[in-house]
Amino acid sequence: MSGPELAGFLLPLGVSALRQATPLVLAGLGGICSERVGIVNIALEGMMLAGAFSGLVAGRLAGPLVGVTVAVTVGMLVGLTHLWATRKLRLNHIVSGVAINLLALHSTTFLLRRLFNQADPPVEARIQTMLPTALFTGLALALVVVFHLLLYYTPLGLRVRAVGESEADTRMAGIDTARVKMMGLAASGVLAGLAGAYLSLAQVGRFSDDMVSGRGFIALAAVVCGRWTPLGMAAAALAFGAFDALQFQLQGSVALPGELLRSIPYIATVVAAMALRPRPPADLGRQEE
Amino acid sequence: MILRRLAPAVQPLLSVAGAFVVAGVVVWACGGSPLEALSALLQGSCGSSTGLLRTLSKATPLLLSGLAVAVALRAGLFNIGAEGQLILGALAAAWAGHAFTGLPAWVHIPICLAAGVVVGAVWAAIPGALRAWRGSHEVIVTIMLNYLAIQLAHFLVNGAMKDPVSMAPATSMVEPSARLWAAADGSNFSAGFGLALLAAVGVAVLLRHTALGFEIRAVGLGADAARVAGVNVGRTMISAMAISGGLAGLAGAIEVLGVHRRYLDAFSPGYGFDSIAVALLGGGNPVGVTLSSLLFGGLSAGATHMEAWTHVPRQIAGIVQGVVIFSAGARYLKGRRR
Repeated sequence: MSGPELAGFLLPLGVSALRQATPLVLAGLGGICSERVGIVNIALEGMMLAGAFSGLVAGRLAGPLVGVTVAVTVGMLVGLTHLWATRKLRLNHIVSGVAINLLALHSTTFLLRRLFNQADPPVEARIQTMLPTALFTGLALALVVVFHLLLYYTPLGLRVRAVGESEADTRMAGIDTARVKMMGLAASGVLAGLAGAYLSLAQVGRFSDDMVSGRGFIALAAVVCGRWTPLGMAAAALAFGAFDALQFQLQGSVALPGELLRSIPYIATVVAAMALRPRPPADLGRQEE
Repeated sequence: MILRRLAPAVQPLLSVAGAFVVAGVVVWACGGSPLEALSALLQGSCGSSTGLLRTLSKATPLLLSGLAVAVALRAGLFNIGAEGQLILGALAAAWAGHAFTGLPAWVHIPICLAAGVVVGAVWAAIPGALRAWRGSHEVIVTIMLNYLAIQLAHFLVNGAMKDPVSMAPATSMVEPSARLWAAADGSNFSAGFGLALLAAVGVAVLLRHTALGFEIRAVGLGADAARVAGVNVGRTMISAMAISGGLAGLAGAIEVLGVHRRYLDAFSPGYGFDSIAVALLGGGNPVGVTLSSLLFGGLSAGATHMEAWTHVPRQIAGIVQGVVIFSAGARYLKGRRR
C-alpha cells in the first residue's frame, strides 16, 4: 500500500473508531462512578436504553438539546433507582441490575409500539436534525481527563475512592458516605443516559428495539480491563471501538471473520479477569447489613 | 402446621400480584383496558387445550434454565450465562442430531441430549474455574461468555455448520430418530416438558439427599465456614457451575430436538435471561422454580394472544418480569440472611 492509500484507509478508520468508542467511553465513566463508590453496575445497558429512548421522544417534541437534557435526567433517575434498590430494598446489586435491564428493554419496546408504530400511517421513531457526533466525542474525551483529575487530585475523589474501599471506615472518619454514593450513582446515570442520547440523537438519529445491543456490557468490560481507572478504561474503550470500526471496514473484503473481531472485547475481558487480576474496589458489591 | 408450610409462598404470590397491578396501571395509562388485556392473556394461556399445551411448551426451557440459575444460586454464584450455555447446548444437540445416522431413537436421542448437557456444562465450568482458582467475578465472565457464545454460534451456523441446501442461517434438520415426540396442534408441546420435570426432581434429590448437594448449600451459606468444615470450596463451585450449565445446555438441546428440529441462529428469545426471574421468584428451590416457570410460560404464551386481540404490546409480560425480580429478589436475600 502506498502512502496516500494507507492514509485513505487509516483516516476513515480512525474517525469511525472514535465514533464507535464515544458511547463506550461515556458509559464506562458512568460505570467507574458507580463501582468506585461500591455499587456493582451491570445496569449500564438499561440506563443507556432509557436515555436513548427518552432522549429521542423529547428530541422529536422539543429539539435535540432538550432531548439530551431529558435523556440525562432519565438516566440519573434510573441510576438513583439502582441505588435505592440496593440500599433501601437491600437487593443484591446483580439482581437489581438484571431487573433494571429487563425493565428498560421491555418498557422501551412497549412504548415504542404504543407511541410510534401503531398509528396509521405508522410513525417512525426518527429525528429530523441530528446532533454532530464530534460534539459528544470531544465531550467524552474531555470528561475522561476531568474524571481522572477529580478522582485522584481532589478531596471529593479521595472520598469516592475511600467509600469504594471501605464504607464503614470512611463513615467512621466522619464522612457522609450516603451522600457520596448518591452523587456517584447520579453521575453514573447521567453519563450512561448521555451515552444513550449519543446513540439515538447523534449517531443513528432514530430509535429501534434494543438499539444499545450490548454496548453497556462492553463499556463494563472496558471498566474491568482498565482496572476501574478513567484513563485505563478510555484506552480499553478506544481499542474496542477500533476493533469495531475495523470490522465494518473489512466487511466482506478479507477472510478475517467479523465475528472474531466482534468477540475481541469479550475475550480481552475474560483474559483480563483471569490473568491481570484486576483489583476491583475492595467494598464493591458489599451488601448493607 | 399447614399455615407454616404455606408461609414461604405468601411473599412470592404478593410480588406477582403487585407486578400484575403495575402492568395493569401501565396498560391503563396507555389507553388500554387492563381487564380486557388480562382476560385475553388468560384465554391465550389456559383458555383452550392448545393454549394450555403452549403454556407448558413455553415453560419447558424456562424451567430447565431456571433450575440452572437456581443450582448456581444455592452455591452463592450468579450464573448470568445461562443464555450462552443454552445456545451452545442447542448447537451441540443439533450437530449430534444430523451427524449420526442410522441409530435407533432410544440411542440417538440420549446422545443428542448428552451432547447439549456436556457442552453447556463445559462452557459454564470456565467461569466456575476462574472464580475458584483466580477469584475472577463469575458475573463479569458469564456476561462476556454469553456474547462469545452468540458470536461463535453465529459464525459456525453461517459457515462450517450451515445447512448447504438452505438459505437460512441454520444447521441441517436433525434425523427423525433424534426428534422428541411433539403434539401436532401447533402448540410446540413436546416430550421435553416431561424431561424438564424429571430434571426438577433430579435437582431436588441432588440438593437434599447427596453429599455434593449438601456441600453446594454449605458453600452458598458461607464459603469460609464451609472451608473450615472441610469442604473443598473451589471444587464445589466448579461442580455447581457445571451442573448449572448442563441444565441450561439441556434446555437448548430440548428446544432443538422437540421444537425447531435444527439449530436456527438467534432462536432463543432470551430464555437464559428470563430464567433469572424464574429462579428468584422460585426462591432457588425446585418446586418453586417449577411453579414460577409455569407462571412465566403462561405469561409468554398468553401475551402473544393478548397482543393479537387487544393490541396491547406483548412486551408488557417483560415488564411484569422486571417488577417480579425487584420484589422477589428482595425476598430471596432476606431469606438467606436469616
